[in-house]
Amino acid sequence: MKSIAAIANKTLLKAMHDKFFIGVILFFLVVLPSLPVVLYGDGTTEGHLKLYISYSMHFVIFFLSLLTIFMGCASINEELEKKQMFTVITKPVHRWQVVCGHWLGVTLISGLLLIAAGSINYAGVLYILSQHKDTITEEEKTVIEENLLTARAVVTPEQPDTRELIEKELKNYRKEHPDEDIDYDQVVKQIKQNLFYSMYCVPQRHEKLFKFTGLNKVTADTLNIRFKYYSSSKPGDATITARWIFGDPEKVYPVRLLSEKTPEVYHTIKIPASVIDTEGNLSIKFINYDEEYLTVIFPEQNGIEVMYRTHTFTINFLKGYLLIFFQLIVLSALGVMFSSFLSFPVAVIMTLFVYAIGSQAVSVLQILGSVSDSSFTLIELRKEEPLTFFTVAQKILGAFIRLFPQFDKINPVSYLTDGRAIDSKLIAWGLGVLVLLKGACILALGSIIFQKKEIAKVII
Amino acid sequence: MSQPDNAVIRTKDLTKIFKDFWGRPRVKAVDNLTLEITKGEVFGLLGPNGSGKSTTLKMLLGLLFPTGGKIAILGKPVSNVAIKQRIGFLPEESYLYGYLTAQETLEFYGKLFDIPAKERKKRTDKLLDMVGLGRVGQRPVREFSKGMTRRLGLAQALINDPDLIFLDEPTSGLDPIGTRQIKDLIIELKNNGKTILLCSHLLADVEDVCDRIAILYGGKIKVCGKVGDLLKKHDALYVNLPQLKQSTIDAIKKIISDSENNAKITVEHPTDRLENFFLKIVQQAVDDKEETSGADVIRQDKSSAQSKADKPADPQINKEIIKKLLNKKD
Repeated sequence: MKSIAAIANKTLLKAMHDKFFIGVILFFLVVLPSLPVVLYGDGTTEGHLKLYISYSMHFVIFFLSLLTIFMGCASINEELEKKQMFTVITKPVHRWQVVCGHWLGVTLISGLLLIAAGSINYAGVLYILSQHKDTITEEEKTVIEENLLTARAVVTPEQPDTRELIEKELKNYRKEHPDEDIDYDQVVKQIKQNLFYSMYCVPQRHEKLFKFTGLNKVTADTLNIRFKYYSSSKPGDATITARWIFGDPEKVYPVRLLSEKTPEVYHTIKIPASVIDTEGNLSIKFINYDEEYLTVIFPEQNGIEVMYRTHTFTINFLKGYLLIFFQLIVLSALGVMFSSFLSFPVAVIMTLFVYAIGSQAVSVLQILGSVSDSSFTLIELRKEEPLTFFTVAQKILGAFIRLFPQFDKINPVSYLTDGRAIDSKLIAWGLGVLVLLKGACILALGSIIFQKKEIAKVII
Repeated sequence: MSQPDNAVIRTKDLTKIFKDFWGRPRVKAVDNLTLEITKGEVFGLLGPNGSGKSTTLKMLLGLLFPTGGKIAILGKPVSNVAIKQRIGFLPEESYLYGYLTAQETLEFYGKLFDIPAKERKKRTDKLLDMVGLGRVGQRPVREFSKGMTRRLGLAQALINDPDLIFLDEPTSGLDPIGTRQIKDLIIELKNNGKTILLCSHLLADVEDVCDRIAILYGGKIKVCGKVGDLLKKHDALYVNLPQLKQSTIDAIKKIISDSENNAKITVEHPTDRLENFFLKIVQQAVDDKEETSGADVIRQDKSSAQSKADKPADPQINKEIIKKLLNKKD
């Protein structure tokens, strides 16, 4: 352990004596504090804060990720190039200790810079609040406290098993048309369309019931209902009139509201938490009450959510930075691993490649249909189809991408700009799967490769 | 001759074949090399460029993997990390970290040996003094001259008080004073029971300090044996005499010529070695306390600056260096 600490300490000293590195850090530490002044948003306090939090955190993530990649990729490789490794390997040090020492050193530097960045970032939020102190209205202040500078848990409505529903419909269709030569794709497409219409579309004077469960842990007095919908055509008065009934009238005293909200943007309705029944369930009935013949369409995902406060913005902010740290830990492991057998530029390219894939992994998996988050992703149905080159390639690519660290899954920016709580499950996933499993595997791989490597360069 | 139980380094049929990118064998750098180095000897590995001595050294240190054959260092395979506790290595160009100071450098290597902090500090200070860098311990290594870097390289090789020391071109880049000091140190380490494997192109240095040598060519040992035995000319004699009168010289010549059937005789004044002459001049400057910005010149008795070929090093100086190195008390 002392050897690892010694190598890590040497890495720190190297960074402290590297003029280029210090120059880059100074640039970073000058640019970051200037962001609250440079970014102004739409002129409102909320807009200013949202823009600042979003840009500054993206900047921190991008900058520190690149810096960590460069430091990691220059670590072992540089010592091999300069043959300093000769004097280290000939000491009583295991090669895995050399790999871990460099990783620890790079991670420590990244961690220290992240602490500095986080402090500056948080001070920036306080600075913006103080700048708007004299002009901000009470109403605006409340909105910011409830929607932005908070940490709210998000509950989405129960989703029926669409796969089951489609299969059921398909069987019924086959029963009804036993002699017909079924065009499989066409029928499924039609069933999907019908299902989508019944699940997410609300014609005029029709209603839609959303059911939420698992709300027993709510301690807040109020709930925020966040929703967005589209309309089949543009409403004449730009708004859609709707009736809302929050709470099951048979179990609780419901709250009834009439809303006139524009389509295509998110709106929030604040209601008392008393509408949740004793079992932690909440029913929300939406009735399309518009005078025009419009159909309201809720998006498949995030159409309607119940949000309630769980902890403070500060704790959420710290959690967000912890998630960034997890990313940096894995990136430094990747950089060090590649630097154990590749030259610096090739190691950087390889690490950037993994970083780029990892930053889009969840989205790519969704596109490939490997993630069944979407209710209308019917990957299982395709099992009935014969295997084609495309389906095989899709599965292989999906499995390959799953091996990559999924950095986009732990990106905290949208959580903080939406005031959504970063829940412990995500932290546990980041620590367990990303750091302890994938990070450790990357380091182990680097150690094995380095163990097999001849340290002395051979020129034939 | 060497005794098997006493072997510190033993190789058997050691072979190294370098391959190209496609795995095709290109160069046989070391060819079935069998070698045994016993405890307490200074062994010189000689050979022209490309003879395989560096490759052999790197395989002995685990920096290259052999293609065939076996290596045992201190009775264990070279892959055994624990044996490195007892090994010191000075590579051919020191390869130190420019951003660390001399003090930090030794601290770093001391930590790799898990030497306790107090002991580490003590050894660091003593080694820096010993190699003449005591005054520049806080200066970063990148500001050092090649000779100073070499001295620091040697200090790092000795930080763990090793039993077996690998020295690759230990005197390269050093001035004659530094060279002399290193050679003296090698002799002192040997006197203290250390085993040293030395690779060098400077044959005079090897001749001065090595007990045995092996000359490599094409990856094979061409000759191996004691330096004295290999260099002895059995068909000539050297007689050291004080200054004689010309008549006495003529009389001696006549006697030898008569009795040895007109044997060829040459009579001339012996010359001092340039190294000894140079050191005398520098010693004079040191005694006169003239200023210098270079590394400290350790004051030594005249006798210690003389080569081993002329006279063995002064035992008093030996004791001082050993004490410094091993941190022994009087």
